[in-house]
Amino acid sequence: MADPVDMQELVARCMGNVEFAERVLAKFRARLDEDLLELEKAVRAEDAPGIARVAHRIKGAAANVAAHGLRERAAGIEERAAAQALADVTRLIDELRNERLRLRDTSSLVASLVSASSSPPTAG
Amino acid sequence: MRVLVVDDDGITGEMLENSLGRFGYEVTVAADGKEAFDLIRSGLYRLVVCDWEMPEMSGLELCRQVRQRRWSGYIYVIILTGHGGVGNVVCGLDAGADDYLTKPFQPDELGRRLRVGERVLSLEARDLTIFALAKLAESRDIETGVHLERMREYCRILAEEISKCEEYQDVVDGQYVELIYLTSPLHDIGKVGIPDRVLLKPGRLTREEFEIMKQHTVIGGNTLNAAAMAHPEAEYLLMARDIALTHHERFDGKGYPRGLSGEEIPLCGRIVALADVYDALTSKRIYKPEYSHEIAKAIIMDAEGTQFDPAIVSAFLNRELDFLAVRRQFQMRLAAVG
Ligand SMILES: [Fe+2]
Repeated sequence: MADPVDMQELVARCMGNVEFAERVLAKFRARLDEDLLELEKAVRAEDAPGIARVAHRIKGAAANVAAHGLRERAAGIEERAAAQALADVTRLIDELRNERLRLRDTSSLVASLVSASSSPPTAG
Repeated sequence: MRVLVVDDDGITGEMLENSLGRFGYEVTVAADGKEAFDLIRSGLYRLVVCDWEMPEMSGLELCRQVRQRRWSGYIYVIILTGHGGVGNVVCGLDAGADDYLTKPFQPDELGRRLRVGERVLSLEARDLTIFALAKLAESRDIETGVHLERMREYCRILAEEISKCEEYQDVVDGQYVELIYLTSPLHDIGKVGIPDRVLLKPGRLTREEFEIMKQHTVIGGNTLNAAAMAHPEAEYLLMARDIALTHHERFDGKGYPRGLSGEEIPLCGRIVALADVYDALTSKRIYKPEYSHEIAKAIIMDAEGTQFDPAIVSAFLNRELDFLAVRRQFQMRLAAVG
């Protein structure tokens, strides 16, 4: 199973600053939780435009932190909501939740990244 | 170089700030289009990296509004968005964006695109053109170049003060102030076309000679207008044109060349009119001594509503200490030069 976050990519987008990347991820997790609640509320209300809007937001944020599993699921939800095809949106949201759980602790990911490289990443 | 980052997503904004900071840019982050527009109005930002989808004012709308106004210099806008596809690119470029990048951003690529933007901005020949034109004007002026330097300071002070009036708040902002500072030295550029026997005549001008002299407003206005038409992107030329053409108009309609009155005279012309006269009064000329600030002030107050716009006169009165400070500063500079 692929890592929930491609740390190489994220750290590169953070200009090699691992600490900064960790802070970004922490913020991302907190906001994702809020977005997930909002998404589920929109699903209960069968509010397709609302679902599409929140999913779009999650997709963008996930792409930014290189959380590709999350990005793909959010994109799937956005597409279905835009097409008013809400049939398996619930399944995708479950998958989104699972991805979120895998994000629980990324500090080990960061540690592995740091130890994997012979020298610590430096600013470019 | 400063960069204004506009993104409603705080995390993206922070990441952009981090990357661009590492590239050596001074980054300010705005959370929406409105905030960004206000920051752009400060005149401090020429490079903008902007998200497309934002609540209230979208990136495209921001672009459109930026393009609708007259700025002191070009504003280079890069749109950053999750939307792909050729249709969207065209849409963005149509709104006036200079470049287009899809999210998630790649720092190296964004850095390269910003360098392109910087190059475009530096190629903009505005400042050089103004400088060359002002020098040309100076070469035909019997007064020293110090007149132009003082006058632009007076114009800046007046414009700053006017920006506090409710009536002018939407027109006069940081950009306007900078623009009038840059272009006011061109007010007499039309003197280039006045024959020496009139321009350099030491004594009083005959009525016929004075009519010729008055033409410097029209010559300057026409020249700058032609330049403005040839370079529609150089919007500072429009203000320069207005100033050259109207700085001898009077509020009561008895000025020249067209006898415009009141608000028919562009604000920049009304501002330069007072600044020009104040400096002439407080400087020694062949035909007159140097008047004190008090005398100049009395003369200007006396001409309120006739020669000068009362709003500009009251701006002058509010800031007379700053006028005095400018005068003193230049006196000290001249004394130091010897
Ligand atoms: Fe003049």
